[in-house]
Amino acid sequence: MTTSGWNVLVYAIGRTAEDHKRVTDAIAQMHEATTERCHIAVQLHGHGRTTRYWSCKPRKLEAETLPVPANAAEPSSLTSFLNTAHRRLPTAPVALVLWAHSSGLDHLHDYPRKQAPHRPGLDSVFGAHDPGGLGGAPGLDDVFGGAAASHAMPMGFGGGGGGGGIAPWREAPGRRTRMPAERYGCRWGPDPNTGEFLTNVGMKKAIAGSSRRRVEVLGLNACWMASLEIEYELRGVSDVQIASQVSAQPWPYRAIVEAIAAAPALTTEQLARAIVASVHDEITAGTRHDAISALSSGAAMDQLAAAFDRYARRAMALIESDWESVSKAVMKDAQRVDDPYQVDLMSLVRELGKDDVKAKIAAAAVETHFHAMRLAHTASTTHPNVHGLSLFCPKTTHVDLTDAYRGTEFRTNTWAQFLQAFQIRLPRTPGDQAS
Amino acid sequence: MPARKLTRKKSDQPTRTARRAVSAPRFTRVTKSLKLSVPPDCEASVILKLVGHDERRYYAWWLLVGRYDQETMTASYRFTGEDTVRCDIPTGMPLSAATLQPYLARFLKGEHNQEDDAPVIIKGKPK
Repeated sequence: MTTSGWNVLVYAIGRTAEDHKRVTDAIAQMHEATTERCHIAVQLHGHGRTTRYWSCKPRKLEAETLPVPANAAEPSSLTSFLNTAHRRLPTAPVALVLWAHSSGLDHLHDYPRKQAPHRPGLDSVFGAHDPGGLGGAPGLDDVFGGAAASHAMPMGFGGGGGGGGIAPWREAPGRRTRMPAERYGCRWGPDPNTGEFLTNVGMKKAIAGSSRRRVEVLGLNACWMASLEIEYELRGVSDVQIASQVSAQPWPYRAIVEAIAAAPALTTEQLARAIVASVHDEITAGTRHDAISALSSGAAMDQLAAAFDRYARRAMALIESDWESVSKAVMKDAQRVDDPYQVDLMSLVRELGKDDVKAKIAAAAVETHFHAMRLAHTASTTHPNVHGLSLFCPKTTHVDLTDAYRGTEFRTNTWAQFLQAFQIRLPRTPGDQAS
Repeated sequence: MPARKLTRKKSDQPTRTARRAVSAPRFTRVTKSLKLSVPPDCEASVILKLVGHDERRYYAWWLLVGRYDQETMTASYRFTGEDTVRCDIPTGMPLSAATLQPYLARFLKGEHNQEDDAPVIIKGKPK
């Protein structure tokens, strides 16, 4: 798409004074660097107030505080910001950046403890104990019941854990907690006033509900957001997504605006490459040590997910036929990306099934689709072997897989079943039961 | 209001010997495989690895080597990509999760990443 200028919208959280200052500094720098063909709007969520900034040269930078602080975690807050920006700024393609902290998928926790229906007392009425945190893994029996050693009956994803002998406490009669759909997915935030998180499901809903229904460039300036699950969810509301696989640092916003100012007719793909290049320059200069990638969305992401589904089907078969190599690939050889629950997608498909012809053919298809959609990528040497997209792949026996994927579109991918089968097959150590 | 004169009462306590301050543990980020060996001014070196996160971040004791006088242990660590931190513990500092946790939290906060600033917990032994 050829353009005659850009609207850059930044939706940011300044929870600490330091974060807040970083955003306001970036706003001042962007305003200084911008021109009449690059319009900037920022919604900054701080403690007790939400401020919108408007930079439309030749006018001065304008700031307005909303009468009531907006909850950054509410999709409606993002929709409202987008709609106001669409009305107020001249018509132009939109680059939306969500800038805050994040920690990968939300709803990551241990399996809930098994109910004890025969035990008299309050537990039998209200369900068993609250789920232990990750710090206290439940025992083998807590997770898999007595049938754990049989490696039988994996749970279904998105279905609430039926069939595996697992009865999540939240599903006990009288204790069921209904979560709105947008409360599943990644964990971006938190809002400084409510402590709540916006998820990628919520982002999708917010952008789809806005007057333009989509943005050209969607940037996620937060840690661990370049994952297949997250970007798959957002594929329908953006042409290009830019995110980091690792612990991310703030982007060089001034340089990004300068790139648009220098060439306002940048296409969507050119702008995406320019953003990655600005980060690359800082990595080369030694002032940052993270990674960033720009990937095409839409049909390209659908094709990648479909190719990966076929690959995951073959990988499932390998769990039974070649457990040793599957275990080694996941536990040792595939590149992790700071986050212990995520693995680099390309590294995984090169390691998992590398001795199996069918898996290699399926992996090659995944690689082909991935390289076709990857517009740009850069990574610091401190992150070797990251290629631009991660995948949820915990190594532990006690992370609740069902809840991690619940509510996301990716839960129907065969990879979800692979994870389930892999986790069941992992040997349990005495420590699992003792801790 | 006249300024109040401050007088210090002479203490009848004998002068206390100032306790020698123990220097803080030194943290560095691990980004590649390495041979872990304890520096001369330290008693132990530890690798802490991120093993889980929810509302908190959990690090596990992954590798620990010690030193006594001129004798020191060296061990190889293979970096697999997870968030991994090396900690050199100076002589005289207790080796415990409770002691290291605040220092680790400060080190991570100082990195200014866009990561959720969740509390840090070091799991398991030594306690």
